[in-house]
Amino acid sequence: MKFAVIQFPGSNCDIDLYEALHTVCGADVAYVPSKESSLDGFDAVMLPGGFSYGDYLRAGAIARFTNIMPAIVEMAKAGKPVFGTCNGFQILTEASLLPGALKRNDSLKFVCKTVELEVVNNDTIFTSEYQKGEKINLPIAHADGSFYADLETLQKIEDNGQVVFRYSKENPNGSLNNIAGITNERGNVLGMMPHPERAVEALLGNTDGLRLFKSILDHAEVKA
Amino acid sequence: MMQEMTPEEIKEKKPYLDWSLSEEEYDYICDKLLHRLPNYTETGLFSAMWSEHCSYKKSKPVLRLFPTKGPRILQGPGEGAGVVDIGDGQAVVFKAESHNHPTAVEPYQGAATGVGGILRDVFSMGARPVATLDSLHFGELDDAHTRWLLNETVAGIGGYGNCMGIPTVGGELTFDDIYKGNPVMNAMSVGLLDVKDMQKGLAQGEGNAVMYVGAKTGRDGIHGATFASHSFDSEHESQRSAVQVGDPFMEKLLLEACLELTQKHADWLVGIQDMGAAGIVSSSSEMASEGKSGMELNLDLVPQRESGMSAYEIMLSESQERMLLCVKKGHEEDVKKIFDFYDLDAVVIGRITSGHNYVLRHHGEVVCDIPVTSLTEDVLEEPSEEKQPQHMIDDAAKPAWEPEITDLAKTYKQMLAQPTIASKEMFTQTYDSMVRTSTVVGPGEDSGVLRVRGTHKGIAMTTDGNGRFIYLDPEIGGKRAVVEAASNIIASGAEPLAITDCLNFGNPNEPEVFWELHHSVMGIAKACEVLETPVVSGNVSLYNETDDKSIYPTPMVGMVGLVKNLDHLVRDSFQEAGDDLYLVGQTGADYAGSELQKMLTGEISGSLNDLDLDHIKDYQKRLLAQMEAGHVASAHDLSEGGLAVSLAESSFGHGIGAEVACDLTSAELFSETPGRFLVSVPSEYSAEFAAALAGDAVKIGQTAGDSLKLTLQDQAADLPVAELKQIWEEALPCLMKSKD
Repeated sequence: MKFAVIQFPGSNCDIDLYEALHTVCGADVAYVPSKESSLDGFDAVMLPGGFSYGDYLRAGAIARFTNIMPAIVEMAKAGKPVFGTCNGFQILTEASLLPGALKRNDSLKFVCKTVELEVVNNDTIFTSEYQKGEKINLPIAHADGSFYADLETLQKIEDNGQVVFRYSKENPNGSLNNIAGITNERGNVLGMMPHPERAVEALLGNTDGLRLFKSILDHAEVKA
Repeated sequence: MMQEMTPEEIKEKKPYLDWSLSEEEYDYICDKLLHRLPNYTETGLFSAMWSEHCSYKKSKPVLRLFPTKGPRILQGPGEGAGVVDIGDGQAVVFKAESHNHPTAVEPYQGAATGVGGILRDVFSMGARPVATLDSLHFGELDDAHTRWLLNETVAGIGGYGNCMGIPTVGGELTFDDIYKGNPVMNAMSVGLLDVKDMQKGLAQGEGNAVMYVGAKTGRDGIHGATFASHSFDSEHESQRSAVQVGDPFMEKLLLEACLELTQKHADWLVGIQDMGAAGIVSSSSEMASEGKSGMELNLDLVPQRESGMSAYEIMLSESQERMLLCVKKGHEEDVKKIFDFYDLDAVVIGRITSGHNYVLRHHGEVVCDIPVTSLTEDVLEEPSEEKQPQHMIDDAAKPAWEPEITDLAKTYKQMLAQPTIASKEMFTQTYDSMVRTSTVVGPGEDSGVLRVRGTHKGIAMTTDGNGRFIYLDPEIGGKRAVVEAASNIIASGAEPLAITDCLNFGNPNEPEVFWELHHSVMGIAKACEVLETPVVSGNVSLYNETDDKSIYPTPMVGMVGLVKNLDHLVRDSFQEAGDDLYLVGQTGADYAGSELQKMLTGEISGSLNDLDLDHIKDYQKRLLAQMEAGHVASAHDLSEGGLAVSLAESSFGHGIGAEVACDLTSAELFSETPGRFLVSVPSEYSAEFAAALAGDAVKIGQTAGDSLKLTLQDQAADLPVAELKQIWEEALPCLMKSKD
């Protein structure tokens, strides 16, 4: 299974995803600049955190127009794993690969801390290694992480089991229904504000994010 | 467009006086350097390059006192940043910079561009910046303007660093009324470098290209360097135009493009330098001067975002996110291709020439033709008068202040709520401290620690300034600042390597201020010599005063250390109940300038006790050896608030308390004798630890329970950890919410 880590101008957590997959999980992974237009040869695509295009206009709003986006949409349509964390999540909503939008945190401030999450749905290719209802701790680092959707959409994603992670103690940004991460209807596109790739090494004090990457890799093995 | 003055009009009307060039300097330039009158553009270039900010003409004689060499030092002061060997072909690269004046006027942009500027200094060396630290000193929070300044400053630091994706892993924030009109904002950047990729700010080789890369030039920040070399008066609000505006997204692109060039194609490159203070003129003339070359630039080729800019404006603009390269002839297009990929301008604006002159053309005319060295090396050093501050003489004649503590528990809690002591988390959590996943220890501990990828080593870093002590006694205070930084580094289990500094002082034309500068540098230099931590880079910020009132002399010491094996990294929190507690270092009656003195009396006064640097170094080495042997569970440096505050902070991490019984008095619990540590040691190593630190460590109790049970010589107290932590955590959010 080969992963693509997309580098948009202004991405800065690209190395975090790359190292989590390459060095920690031993997976096959390569950077792909957003100026490229093909993802041929890749089986999964990862959209990193950061400030693509400086968050100018709106977080993720310019990145969705980059050359690589049609290829990412194709991957999503083909049912391959598409994952976005933080700015990656924002880009996925801007590109309409995920419903809803990410608004400014209700504190109006950037916040970097570790928060507790509940794994609401473990029946996805991203979370199969977790227990349903399990509490995990993951870092967040964002200014625009308050998930919002109109009531009808919100109801739909709740009913479909698309909510994968919820803030379970403190909601750090004011998201609706304490939502921290959601999938698309089909379940192969996951966007989340927390950073699992920052929690994969005991040296850095937290390994709760590791099983997310293991889940994707397990899924690939089962399929193969 | 305004008509520029003729050389004769300049001589007569002396506009240069407003640009900080003195009449004596102007005459010297005319008579000794040029043998003619300089034109308008040339006069502007001289005034910027001869400012203290660029030339260090006031501080140079004093800066020569610093030790700058050592076996690990690959690059000392004079380049973009200092470079220190950490083995395995790698080096750590670091420098600090002050942005006090811009921050006082426009705090968000002042702080943001302070961070942006210091990052460019580090990546101009070919290093990737991996961490940022800050050192902030502000007025008291009972003032709404100060709260606004602080909020905006913190937002600016975070706004720039978060977007760049460089973690902010440490720093300091203290409060005192003396900084009300003139806050101190210092930023330090630390980078990592493969030694083979190291670059210099150098331009040479006739016919080689001078290339401008990065953002376009506008009218922002013109005369920022001279602005920083002036004092504030109440009118300073009108100087907003001298503050630059930052674009971290542009800088992120510039960083990646420059690193691609320096790491993969260094053979195309002769040198590279940041366009910082005094923009194009300083970078180009310094690079030519370093290469002993002549240079000719065509200003019509400079990418500009405003029309009708004069030569003077183009040369002195301090627009951000720009770099100057000297590229080998024939590789101009290759370099351009790299920058094209990042959608950045990369333009040949001139060439290296055979002579030694600095020639500028604009609209087809020569607007400047002067010797390169007249801008860089011929600057007149300014002798300064100095005089010991009267307050020192007065203080020495008075009896030392002795604290009286009648209610230990009350004083303890009051101490934890002091803004300088209280938790800074409400600010530090607005910084991304984890991005790029190498942060092992983030903000809030003695030092920030990053792992070095591909090795099992770490680098520890800290910033320390203590204006109060340096005000009371510049030389002893200077020593204390270095000892404090070294103690922070050692508390993490790291070996101190070297320092950078920011010398924040008042108006050096005041003899008492110059004395403070001179003597604090003497103290810093002495401590650096003994502790074997040379000065590898730094910056000077003078004229920090408002309406003739100087800030405390506030040198900031930024130190970097090496953790040889991250398995032996030591944290500041108690790890387990039942460990033995040791106090390392002697405790004396060090209350002058202490947080306790300020809290109880509202002011600081007194004389400082000198310190035995050789002795401190000796036991710190033995302590480090114990840490590297894995015998130490936790270690916390003792600083503001003394043992009291360290005990509390060490208990907060895991909610583990302590039982302390020793013959210190309650006052001594708050004494700030430098060079001390609170160390917890698992009982199986306790005997070995005690033997190794014999004479310099005393066992004071054990980690236990969930409260601090203190039995001192004169008083006892039982303080629940949870209650103390709440006081410590809530103090700043509460003060910042004030509606006054």
